[in-house]
Amino acid sequence: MSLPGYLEDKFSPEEIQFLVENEPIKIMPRITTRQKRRIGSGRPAENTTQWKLITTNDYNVNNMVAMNSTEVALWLALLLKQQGKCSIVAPSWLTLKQIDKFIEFEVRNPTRFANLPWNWLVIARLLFQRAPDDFRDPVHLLRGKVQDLREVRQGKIAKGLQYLNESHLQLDNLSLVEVNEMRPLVVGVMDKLKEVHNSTIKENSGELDDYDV
Amino acid sequence: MDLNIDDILADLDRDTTAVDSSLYLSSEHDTTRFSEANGTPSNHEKHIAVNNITPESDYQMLITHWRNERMAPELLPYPHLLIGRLLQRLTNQIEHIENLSMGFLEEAAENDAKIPMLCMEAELERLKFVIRSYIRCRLHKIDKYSLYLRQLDQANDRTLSLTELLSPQEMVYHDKHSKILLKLFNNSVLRHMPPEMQAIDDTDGSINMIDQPDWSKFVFVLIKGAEPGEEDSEQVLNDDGKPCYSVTIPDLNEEVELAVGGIYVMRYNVISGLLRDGKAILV
Repeated sequence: MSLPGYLEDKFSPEEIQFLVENEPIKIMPRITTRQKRRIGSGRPAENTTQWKLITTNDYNVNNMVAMNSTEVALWLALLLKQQGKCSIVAPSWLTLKQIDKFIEFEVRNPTRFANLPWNWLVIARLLFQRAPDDFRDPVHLLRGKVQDLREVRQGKIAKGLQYLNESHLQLDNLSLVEVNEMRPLVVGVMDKLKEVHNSTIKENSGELDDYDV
Repeated sequence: MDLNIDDILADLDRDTTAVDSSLYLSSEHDTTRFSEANGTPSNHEKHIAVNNITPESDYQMLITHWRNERMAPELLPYPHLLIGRLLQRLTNQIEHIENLSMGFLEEAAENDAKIPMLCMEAELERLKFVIRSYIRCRLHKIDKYSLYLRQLDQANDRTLSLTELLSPQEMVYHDKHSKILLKLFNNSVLRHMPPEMQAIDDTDGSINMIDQPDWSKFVFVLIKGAEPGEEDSEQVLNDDGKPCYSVTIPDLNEEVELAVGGIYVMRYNVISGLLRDGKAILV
């Protein structure tokens, strides 16, 4: 088949990461790409290679000034980081204080999920791996907190599974990774429940029609 | 006394953004071309047209199409114009990179500009990956529903014609692939059967031989709402004062409110309308 079977009704974790890598993130460049305008000529000098990107706005990368923060796509930031040309500014929710607040919220509200960004797990994993020196807080503590958060939420997801039904389910603030890992189970079970439900309707439909008419 | 001047400030804001976008417009040739083709008279309208078609927004749209296609049970209509634009940009970019790397051979020592090249190549690969994965997913569905698609083609009462649903290349694939498959079945098994059992798309037998998409399959859906700034007639406010859509599940006669920003596990046929209007995306 043209699509491998294991990709048929879900995304692979690598594809999830790919999706997340398209999100913008703040960086501190260590290179300057902004062209100096020559006095008189008015247009930028064209002796260096301009960035010409076709999927993201290339205005920002063409106007980087060393140590002035700017926003670029995450994949670009990771690439630059690999080359030692920038440091990544961790998002505001990825601090010990903020994560502690989230954990507190999770513990206090057993029926709801905290309002984390939809890509928090992937961002945390990527940044811990590729930019561990850019955090203000010690990374091993952050790692522990993120793991705590993950486990609290996993417990809630497991508890939520008892409400699977044949009509619908509401799962606000669930992240993409969490959706993706529960997808095969939830969809499979709910599809079967729906089948069972529909077959009972069909058996009784003769009588129901009589009542309706 | 409190004077609310938000609308006046918003008016001023709008002017400055129009200037901003026209500033870096000059570097993006393809966007200017599109807005000129529309022949827009006023600066304001031009600004809107430019905002609608940019490389970034096209890429975002492609990602959305890709995600929807991967998760939806049915084959979704093919975005002819979008893919056309993206492929055009892809070829232009490949040419651009080649030209640049040729330039390096002559004046490589002069400037240290490997990083832009690296990023541009990486970006090219990323875009190619999405398009490839998207097409492969569609081909998979064409394989799966080939009999159903043929039935759609023969019945002319459908609102959506097959040429809108498939790209020209996919049409060719669909035709040839089903012919080859039919030939194999005919030669190996079907010709030994009694004539009334030789049809491969029999719908009257004990089991319907045409596989239809599972219309009521459960999917995860994110309710995005209409574009900001646009009024939406279908949108209603729920008890909490949040905007939401009201849909009905036909089998259960149940009405459900889908709040904007929420994630739901929902039957596909219930939300397919919202999906088509771009008010919801599959996750």
